[in-house]
Amino acid sequence: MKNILLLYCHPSPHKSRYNRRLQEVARKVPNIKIRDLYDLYPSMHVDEKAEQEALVEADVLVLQFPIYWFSAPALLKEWMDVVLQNGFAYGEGGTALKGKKTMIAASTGAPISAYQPGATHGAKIEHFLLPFRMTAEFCGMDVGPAFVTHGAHALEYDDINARADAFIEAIQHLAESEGT
Amino acid sequence: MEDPDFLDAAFIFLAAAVIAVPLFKRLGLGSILGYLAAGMVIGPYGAGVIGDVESILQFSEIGIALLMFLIGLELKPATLWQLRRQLLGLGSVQVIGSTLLIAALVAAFGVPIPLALAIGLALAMSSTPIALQTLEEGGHDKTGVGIAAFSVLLFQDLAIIPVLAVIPIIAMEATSTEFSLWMELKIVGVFAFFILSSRFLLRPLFRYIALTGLREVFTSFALLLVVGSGLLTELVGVSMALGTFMAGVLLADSEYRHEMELNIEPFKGLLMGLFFIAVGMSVNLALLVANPIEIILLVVGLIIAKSLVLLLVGRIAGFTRSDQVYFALLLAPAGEFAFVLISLLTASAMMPVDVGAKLLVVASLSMLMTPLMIFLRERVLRRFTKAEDRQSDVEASEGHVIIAGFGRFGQIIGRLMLSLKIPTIVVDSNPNHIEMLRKFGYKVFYGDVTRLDLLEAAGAKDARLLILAMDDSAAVLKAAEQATKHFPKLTKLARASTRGDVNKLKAAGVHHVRRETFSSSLEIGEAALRELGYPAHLAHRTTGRFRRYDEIAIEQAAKFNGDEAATADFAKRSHKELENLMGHDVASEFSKDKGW
Repeated sequence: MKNILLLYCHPSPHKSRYNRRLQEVARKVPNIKIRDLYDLYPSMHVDEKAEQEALVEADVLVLQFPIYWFSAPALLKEWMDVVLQNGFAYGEGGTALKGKKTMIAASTGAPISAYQPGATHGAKIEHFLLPFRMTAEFCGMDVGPAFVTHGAHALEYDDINARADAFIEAIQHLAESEGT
Repeated sequence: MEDPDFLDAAFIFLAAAVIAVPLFKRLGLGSILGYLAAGMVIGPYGAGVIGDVESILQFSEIGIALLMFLIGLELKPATLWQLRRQLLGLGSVQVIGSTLLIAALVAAFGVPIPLALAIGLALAMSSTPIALQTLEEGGHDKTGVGIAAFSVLLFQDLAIIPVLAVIPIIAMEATSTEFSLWMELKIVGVFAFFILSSRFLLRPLFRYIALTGLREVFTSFALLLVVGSGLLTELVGVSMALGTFMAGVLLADSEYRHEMELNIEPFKGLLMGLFFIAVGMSVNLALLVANPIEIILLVVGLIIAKSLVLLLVGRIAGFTRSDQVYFALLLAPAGEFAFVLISLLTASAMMPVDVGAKLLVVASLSMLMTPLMIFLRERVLRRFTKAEDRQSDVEASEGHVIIAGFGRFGQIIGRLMLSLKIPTIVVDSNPNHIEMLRKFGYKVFYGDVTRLDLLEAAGAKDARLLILAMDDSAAVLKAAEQATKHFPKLTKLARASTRGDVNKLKAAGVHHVRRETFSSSLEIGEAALRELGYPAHLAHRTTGRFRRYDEIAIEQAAKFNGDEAATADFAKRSHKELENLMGHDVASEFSKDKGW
């Protein structure tokens, strides 16, 4: 069984039914560890040692966050800046993440129609996830397809449940797939 | 001439000092010349108001003892050990070189060689108090030249021990049993006693006395310590100055050091002044008037001869040329040791009385020359300063942090500083704190930080920060006002106990004020919000917002400065306002805005 690490990064979890539901079901996945970054670091002082240890233990990494202003919430960027250090995640001897599998799970407020060239958001969601994908690839990780839910705040209860099941399936599929 | 009684004499000395010293200082001639001139005027060779120079000189030597003790306090044993090469190297070159050169010159005039050597020794020494006071007044006491000069002076004090023991043997041709193994054993015994008592006896004793809370008892004890150690060393034939210096060095690590400095300093100043007056009084003006050319030639000859040796010493020490000259002028004149030795020599039949009298005039006149020559040198230098020659005058700044008050509050700050190896001096007025913290390796000093002199002693002038962390909010405010007034450039941080204190401290010039319980109360508040179901980050931001509003309210209350009714009214209104603001913010947080 592979160890799964889920980094949950939501500054206003009380506002998101969708993400709360995803957390609920994710908790039941065997061999998963969930780190709620905004709960662990409300003042944004990320403990880089604890984070690195959690990363080393994991075989599979899932990043769950809402898209705020065409990017991730600020704490995830802070987490990347202080945790993915030279000599740990990249550079000489920086092989801690090499070969691990990772998946980005993002939710947007706007519907998929907005994420098109010429529409209000100007480009497909993959454009805005590129910095996170590249960061993972730069660290030698094996990045699978992103799990994106558009218009998350407008979903009906049943739709949310369906997306939650799909989320668990995607995580398990990633964990069971052969590494490159 | 009838000698005046004690009060009259005290009046005369004080009046002479008060008149002459400010005048000379004003003229830029320095305080020492002022004292010396005052002494010449009131002494037996001037107006003759005071006749008994001998006993005044003897009494005022306590001033030198206090001076040496204070210097010792500044020097830890380890620092002294670092000086050993300068002390032995430069000191021995100076003493031996000067002695031989003067002896050779004197012998050339037909003086028998043993007497010539004795005269050489007597005049080779320099005046510790005059040199050190001059260094201090010029602000050179911590520079390379100052330290080298001090090393040489210390070596001279050491050299005096065997000289004083040997001279009577030569002079009286008596078979002295004093200079023997027994005497050396006694010296070793006394210093062993010093070391042991400074380790085991004095610390509890200081604590016991500090706990009484009576300032004057502490002062008495400090003075007793100095006089006692001086007497003890004199008993075994070591100079009082050297003995008190050693006592000072051994107490340099003590947490009561600053407090001792503060209490002894005024006595030192007074008695040193008296000493300089006494030196001025002992200048035999009659002899000078009778034989002006001969005496002046002798003084000039003495200074030139010793300067030649001192210039060489300065060269060995690697000083710049201008520093070499300063060093030479500082140490070239004779010192108080000449008085002792010359009277010893004339008391025996070895030196004719008229020669002794003449030498005494030369010695005391040359002492007068130190401050005068230094004054002239500065005048000349100011005209021809070359940048590269002055670089050695730059003084090291300490750049430390002072924490005042080391109770539960100050300790946390202290631990942070200590963990980062930031140089920190802690001042606390509770002897119980000090005893405990010393065990944990803190550099703690006993004293009342509201006293300006303690701030000075803790190095407020060179400090980076002053952190006022005392329990007593009145003391914090008073210390802040003192510090702002006397050290305007010092950055101050303070602990406030109430909202009202915040504005008072800011008005007193404190840069960062924090209420002592505010932050921890808010943290408990934040934890409470989390328990009530607020997400962590929201709880954090909500308490942060509360902090911001509250601080703005305090700032606005500053304008009611002192008006209690208006302040109370404002407090009521701002409380209402805060409720509205917070309520509005929280409402917007949980309202229609559905997230993703």
